[in-house]
Amino acid sequence: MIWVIAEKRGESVSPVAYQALGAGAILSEALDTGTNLVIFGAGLEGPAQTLAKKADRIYLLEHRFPGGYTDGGFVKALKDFLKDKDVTAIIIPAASSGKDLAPLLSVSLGISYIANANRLEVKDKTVFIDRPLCGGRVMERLSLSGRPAIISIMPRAFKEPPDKTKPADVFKAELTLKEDDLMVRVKEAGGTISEVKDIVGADIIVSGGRGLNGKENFRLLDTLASALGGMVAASRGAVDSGWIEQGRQVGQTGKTVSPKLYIACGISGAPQHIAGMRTSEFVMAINKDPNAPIFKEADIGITGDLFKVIPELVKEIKRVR
Amino acid sequence: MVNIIVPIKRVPDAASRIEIESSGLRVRADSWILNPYDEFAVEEAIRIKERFGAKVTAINAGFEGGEEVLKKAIAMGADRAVFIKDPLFKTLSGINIARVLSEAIKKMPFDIIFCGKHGTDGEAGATGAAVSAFLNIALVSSVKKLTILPGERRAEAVREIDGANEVVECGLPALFTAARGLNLPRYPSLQGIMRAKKEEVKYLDINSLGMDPEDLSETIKVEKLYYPLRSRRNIMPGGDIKEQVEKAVKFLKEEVKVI
Repeated sequence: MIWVIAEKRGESVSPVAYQALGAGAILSEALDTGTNLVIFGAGLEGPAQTLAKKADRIYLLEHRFPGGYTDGGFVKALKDFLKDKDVTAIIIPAASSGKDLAPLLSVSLGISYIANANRLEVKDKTVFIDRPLCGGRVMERLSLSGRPAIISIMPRAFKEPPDKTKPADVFKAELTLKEDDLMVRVKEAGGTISEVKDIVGADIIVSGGRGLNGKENFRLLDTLASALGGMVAASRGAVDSGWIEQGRQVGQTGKTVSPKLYIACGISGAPQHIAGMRTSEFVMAINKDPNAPIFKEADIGITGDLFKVIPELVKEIKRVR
Repeated sequence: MVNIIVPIKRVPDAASRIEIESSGLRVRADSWILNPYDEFAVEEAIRIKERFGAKVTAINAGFEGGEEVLKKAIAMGADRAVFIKDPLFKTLSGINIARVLSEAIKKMPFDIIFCGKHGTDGEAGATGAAVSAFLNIALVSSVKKLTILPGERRAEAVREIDGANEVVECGLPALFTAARGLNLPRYPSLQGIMRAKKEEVKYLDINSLGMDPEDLSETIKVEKLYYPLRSRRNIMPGGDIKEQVEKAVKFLKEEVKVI
């Protein structure tokens, strides 16, 4: 059986959880196993309904702690839940809590862990997993030797699976967790998916560098981002200058993003920045220096003063829409 | 006194040439550096030491090159360097590296373990989390601000999750992983560099840890490394800004299909 594990944050599960179900469907079709979904969090009936046609069975691991689950708690809950189940593979989104959950569960269940899969393939019942290394400069291909494994998937690497013909049967799992099992206590929750958005999951990213020349000029990027329905990000240079918060940084010591479209504005293209956006599907660069290295990483480039280019872009996008 | 362990690793320098080794199974790079996130971890450990008094031990598990990154940690202010050196580590997964690290850590006194949030090579973040699981201690990842209360054996941390900040607390011992924003790592002082030259690295291996190579068997096989096929189009429309913008927007509409 393929198990997909998703945390409910805010009103629903993250979009990456849908993509994890898509990754699960690739394995379950080829290996003829079926896909079960485990959702944990509080108030799970809603997500169970919206996800009903995406899995064969849905298990709800409802918690009853005011601060919510923390790693120690949900690993113990999942271990207790999965110990007597048939497991071919466990798929976990490599976003939010999944990045911690996957290795913790790997140790707890004593099965292997492969992080950041961006492609899955099954040949003669052997599962092959591809994942990027060194900011996408090299790809690694791994295979599973028929033993169960935990696989985390990169945001945006897999598509949501098509609906199944009939809705999943929904089960509630009984939990016997104690307060001590949580190990870490949440004092102030960090907001919910509906309120905050991580650039990691964004389809379109408009990113600014030192060429922006100041905090107030990021408003210009907002106009382009909102014309395209994207999010604003930045290079390390802009973050270090204090123009935008650190959570928006793309690059080796920031986030690694793989949007459909990445627009680099006033970013020269240092290798540390490229490492964080190389896996983008399309890249557009705007820079006044025609020799900026970012143009080598771009599908299309505009050379010119970004303070003139961006307003023109916004106007033209609105015109052709 | 607080005992702090900082597991560190070396990673290819993103600014250097990175290639696939002739074996086809490993990466080779012109230059290797201390994982940038581990620098935040070393720095935070030294700040705790400066504030409360602590013994900071940097530890690396690898098959070569550990001395360089360990000496960097010493030069920054760590007290002791341990290199678990074994040819077996050439092909070891993060989980098994964590198994080895935690066997070594179990033999030392510890209150705080500080790791980088992930290595910039694999970006998995598996090793730190797995060490916490092997040692059965609390894990607080992606820490941007940390307050240690050694008297109460407690810590409070601000961490980033889903692009927002969360405040958590836990008892010690605990494992923290450092995110960017936690601190600004110092440059090693001249005195530090001199000390790093003199300081002996302590060597351990699988045998001396009382481990069996069987304990570290892998069920995952590395088939090969390869270069990504994708190549960028590098279209430079040319012309004045208006012409370039028209062509770029046409590209966004027709090829990228986002308009």
